[in-house]
Amino acid sequence: MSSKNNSQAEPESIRYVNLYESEGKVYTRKISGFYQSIRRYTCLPLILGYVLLPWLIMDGRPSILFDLPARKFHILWLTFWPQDFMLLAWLLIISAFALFTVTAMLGRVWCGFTCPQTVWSLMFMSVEHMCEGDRNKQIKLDKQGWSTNKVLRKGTKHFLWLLIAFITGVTFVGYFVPIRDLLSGLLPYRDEFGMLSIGAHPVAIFWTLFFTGMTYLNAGWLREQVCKYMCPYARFQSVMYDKDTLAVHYDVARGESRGARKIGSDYKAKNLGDCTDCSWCVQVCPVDIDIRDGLQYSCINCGLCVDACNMVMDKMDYPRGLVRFTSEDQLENGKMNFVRIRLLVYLVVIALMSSAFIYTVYTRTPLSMDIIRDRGTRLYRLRNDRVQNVYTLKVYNMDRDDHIYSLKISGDYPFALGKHRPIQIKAGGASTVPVNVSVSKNKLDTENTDVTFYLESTDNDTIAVERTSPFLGPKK
Amino acid sequence: MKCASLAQKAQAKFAETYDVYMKLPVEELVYNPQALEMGVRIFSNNCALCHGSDGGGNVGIPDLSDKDWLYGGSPEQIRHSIEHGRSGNMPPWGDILGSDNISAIGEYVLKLSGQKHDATLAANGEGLFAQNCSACHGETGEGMYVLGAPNLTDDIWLHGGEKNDILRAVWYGFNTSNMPAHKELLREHKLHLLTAYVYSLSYDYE
Repeated sequence: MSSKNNSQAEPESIRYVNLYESEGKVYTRKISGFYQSIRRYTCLPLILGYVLLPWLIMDGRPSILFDLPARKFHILWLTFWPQDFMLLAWLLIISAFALFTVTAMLGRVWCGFTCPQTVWSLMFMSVEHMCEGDRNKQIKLDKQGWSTNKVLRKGTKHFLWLLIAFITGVTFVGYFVPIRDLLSGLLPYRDEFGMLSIGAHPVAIFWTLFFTGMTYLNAGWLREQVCKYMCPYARFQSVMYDKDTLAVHYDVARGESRGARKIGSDYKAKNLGDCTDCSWCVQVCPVDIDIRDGLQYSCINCGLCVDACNMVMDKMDYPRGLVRFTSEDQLENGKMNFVRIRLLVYLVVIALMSSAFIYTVYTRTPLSMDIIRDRGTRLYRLRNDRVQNVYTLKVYNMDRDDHIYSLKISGDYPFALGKHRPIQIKAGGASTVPVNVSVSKNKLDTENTDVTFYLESTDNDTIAVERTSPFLGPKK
Repeated sequence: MKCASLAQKAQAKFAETYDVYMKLPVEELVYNPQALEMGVRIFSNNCALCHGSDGGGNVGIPDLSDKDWLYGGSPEQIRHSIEHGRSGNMPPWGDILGSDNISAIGEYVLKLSGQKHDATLAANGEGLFAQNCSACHGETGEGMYVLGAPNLTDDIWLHGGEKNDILRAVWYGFNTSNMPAHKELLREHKLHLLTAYVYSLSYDYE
């Protein structure tokens, strides 16, 4: 049991945290309420989406498949190639800015409501509550000696944890390996030599077990310690907060001084505030802090203490909101500046970047061509008074249809394109096309010029690319 | 056991990809875009450094995209060249024949290939050619596939077709024509696809 769970209103003192000391287990109390429901109803569709998306089939492949061996990322009807890697970088930058904006506006709602660490931890806690009972029962059970009851309860809990962890792990790997193949591949079978064999690739098995184990460890055992000591986002959130950021705050003016009282007693006469010092807010806290100590780095804005306090306020027949989502400014001055320059800048930047991103994805040419100039034993080839250079074109058809392409060249000199194989490529396919370009030796008055290649689909002239490569000739 | 089954899987995957083409003759594979796509990659990795990516060759390295073949252009002959390699050899004639005779032979070779030449010298050269050169290059100078002796009448030159190039070739000879054997490197399946691709380079599709 944590040492601070029954903390009193004591003067602020310096807390030493020994990072190498194993933390006491946090026993949380079960709570339901408005914020817990918000979390449940935002997370349900997200989790369902996460689990079900790999099963959905589009174009004869899973709707989302990060196909590493083929180096193609299929996301719904879009397919991204290694050439699109820049887009991934921009997507991550946009996501980071979105996170900054949301944090500046609403505090750590990401942490509290959508971060998988929180969601899975709370899921595991529900299982714990189901198997071992509420907080007091859990503490009691842990103090008991081993009995059939304890073994059964603990065993069931760990079994359910591992089951959830396994579903999570398999689903995750299911984004990289088609999930039907993965699941059937994980079942052992007898091969033709009578040996027990497993069809799935060892790497897929490894990562399935890895993510199962990590989910079990993270959500079952590490929980809040990931947020407190491992997560970088938790560490730099403070620079994104300002006085108008929404966060869970304890209304000190209203709550103090805290103290126990009977329901309906005239506590104001005893000089007491609205806080009954019931410690519910501490007992439900998944990161084991006392919100009444003020805003602190461990707080993930999950709102569980708000739910707990509101429940107690209802029982006491006091107004709700002693602990609530509010801002520092509001608590101090009673008003909130929602429109802030920082927020506006964030929003404008996000709007610009997102539109540019969507435009780029939407207008992406589903054709790519790389040109490699021959690096043979000689710089160029002389044949019948003509200078020839040889190029290898790597053409990628990134469209969902098959295409036939036509190739043209241009440059400062009267270049001619040699005979080459027809460029017809299936949807999602690639082709290697060696070509030679020649020019009359008399017409070429430089040893180094450029030649431009145009590749265009014969059935759709909007699908076209242009690439330039050097052309070398004899010294003049 | 695990390793063995992985190797088996790799073998199965390889067979699945390549076996279909083994059943088809080269003459049919030139109409199979997938086979040629695999062929061009094998060519890029193994042949392009010398022959050029387009197979056009260079000085001393034969052009594979024309109809002029040193050792023959049938699928079997191409396959043999790739599989077992080739080694051609032109002896040096300078010390044996002397400069006058070599000039005469040079003029005759120019005449054979339809280039500008000195008619008197070429007439002298004809006899010298029949004595010294025709054993390999043939009576008519059209070359011989068995020895890899080039055709001298088509104005396609491995070592250059200017007068000086020809004189140098006869005087010093060549001991540099060496196509390495690829039997162990490429094995059956890839040799077959590569043969088809090389055959396709000069194939008349019309």
